[in-house]
Amino acid sequence: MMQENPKKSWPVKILQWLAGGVDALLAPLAAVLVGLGIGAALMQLIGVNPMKAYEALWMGVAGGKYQVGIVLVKAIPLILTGLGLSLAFRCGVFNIGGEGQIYIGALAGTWVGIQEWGLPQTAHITLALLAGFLAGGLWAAFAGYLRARFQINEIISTILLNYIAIYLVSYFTHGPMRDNPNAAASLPHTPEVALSSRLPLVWQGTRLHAGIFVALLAAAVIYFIIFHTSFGYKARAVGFSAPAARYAGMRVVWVVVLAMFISGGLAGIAGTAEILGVQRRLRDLFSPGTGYTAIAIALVGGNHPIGVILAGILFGALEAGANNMEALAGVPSTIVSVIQAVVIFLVAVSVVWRNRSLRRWLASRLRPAEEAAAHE
Amino acid sequence: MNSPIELAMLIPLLAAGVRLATPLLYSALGGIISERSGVTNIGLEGMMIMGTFGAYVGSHLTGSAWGGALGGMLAGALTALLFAVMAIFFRADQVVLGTGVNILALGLTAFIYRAMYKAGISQFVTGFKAWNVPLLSDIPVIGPIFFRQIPLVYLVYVLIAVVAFILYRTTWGLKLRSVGELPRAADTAGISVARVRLMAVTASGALAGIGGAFLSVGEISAFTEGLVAGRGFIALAAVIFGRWDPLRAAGACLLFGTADALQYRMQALKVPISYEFLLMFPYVLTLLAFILFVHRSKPPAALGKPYPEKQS
Repeated sequence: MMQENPKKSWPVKILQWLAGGVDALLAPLAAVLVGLGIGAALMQLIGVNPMKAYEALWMGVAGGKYQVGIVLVKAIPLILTGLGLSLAFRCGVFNIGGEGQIYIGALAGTWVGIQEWGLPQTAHITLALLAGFLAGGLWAAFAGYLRARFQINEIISTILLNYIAIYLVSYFTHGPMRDNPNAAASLPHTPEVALSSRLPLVWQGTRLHAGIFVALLAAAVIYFIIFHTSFGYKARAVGFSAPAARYAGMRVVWVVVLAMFISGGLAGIAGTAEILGVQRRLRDLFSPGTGYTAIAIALVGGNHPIGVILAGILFGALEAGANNMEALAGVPSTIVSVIQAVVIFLVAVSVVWRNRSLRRWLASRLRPAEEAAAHE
Repeated sequence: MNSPIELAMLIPLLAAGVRLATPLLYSALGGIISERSGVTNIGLEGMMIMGTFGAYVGSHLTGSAWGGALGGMLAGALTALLFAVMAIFFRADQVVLGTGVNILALGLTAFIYRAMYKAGISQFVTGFKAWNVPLLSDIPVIGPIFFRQIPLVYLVYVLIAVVAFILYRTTWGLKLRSVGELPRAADTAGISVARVRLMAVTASGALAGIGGAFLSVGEISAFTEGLVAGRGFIALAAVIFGRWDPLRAAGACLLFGTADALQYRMQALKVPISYEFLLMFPYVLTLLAFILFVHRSKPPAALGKPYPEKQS
């Protein structure tokens, strides 16, 4: 499977690439349909008409330009965090700490964002995103180091770090970074970030902000890193078999630490972009579990940047639609988590059982022709 | 420890530590059983969440706290069964599935609870009441710490011993451990790896479910969202920290429980430390304990690996 035939002609390559894409999409789409079906059954259980509810969901997703904008706004942090997690997963590190890395990133990013340094907008935004990247990255790299150097289970360490990060943000928003701490009407959140650090809106009539370009750029960079750099190759090798990678002379500890650094860094950017582009103030518990949803996104997206973008938009749509569904049809929006879980289960099961794929079928049909061509 | 005043402060603290350790103890026992059979159980947290809710529903329906505990146990076991079928028969990735279980539990319980709340069903139910064990509760120091608790605490003392006994002194335990260490050898010896693992994971869910029940019907006689708050993961840390051994894991749970009790006590005493840092304390302590001691522990050899391995 792994060896590439150099004599493959380009129409064959494109066909195989497309077949691979269709394969990758089939299982998640089927999973979402089953998830929606189970959601419908649950609604029936609590006496809500599922058709009405799903109509509300659909209107919340595609009811107009504004709604589409909301879907994309929700997809931005999901895509960014999902991209980061996918890199860690490829490296064999199960980073469940996306949520904590989002919080720490947002904390650092907001701190830069609220400073009135008189910087030009591009510089201020870049600096804030960079701060978010560094903070989230270091937070994750710590867990990566513990895992690679001392075999400390990263699942436990990243989850514990999530709680620590969330309480840290809580501390800063209630204390040192609180807006007007002495005023009578002081609320436990930070001041608004400076005008010069706000991500500009990029689509008139919607709330879509420039974070979408950051997310797309990050996807391109991650694609390049994974498939076209020696680090990406090493990360995948470590994920495949750490002992083998070590035997091949790779410095596994540093590969894992760097993969986790980038992984957490992207989550940190996600948190920062959410503040700079949407919320403008940091408050405690500002993230609705994005870091956990992103695990599903990386999985459903097959740990591939394009898949992550699509899955991010899909899950963003589900969340946006669920809010509308709660408002119009009275269905608790947490039903989305149930649908997400069903998708996770079915995709996890299908990954193992996808033996008869379109791509393989195509390969088996093409092989005789290719071999004949090779013999000439 | 010398002056009676110090002792008078220490005893309630340790008693609270035992109480707060109890849900961790249930889940840690569950985690040990599951992981010793070779199945990583990240979904312990979700099974606890289902337990908190199942117990609420159980107590609501039966009007009895024990009915609640049973409901929690069933909810945890059913969730675990779902997880086990996917992990064992479909050989899907256990960590991914476990994460899915956690997301499912959060979403499903909140969904049903909010619908119930809207329908006007009270969040309060019959809970457990403290029951002093005759004679034992009169032992100085030990009595007030260990034997003036709610019955679910006493049940866990028994279960620690039972699990340790089963694990090390019975054929079942031997089968369980062999399946977790060398499934191929166990298979060759005629043990059904799938069946042992299925039973182990279901049992672990039942235990985690009682742990969850402790939090709802045991502690507050009610259900709220976010009751579990990572305790399933702390229990999992205690499993690893305790090297997959019931007694050592119990020690770890007691340590974390006491840390939690200390943190609450400090909040109540208005210690000049921001409460966020106090709330953080059990998680920081767990992480520190993990960093300092865990790298010497060795997990069951077949942990996380589906059996039979995929042949391609």
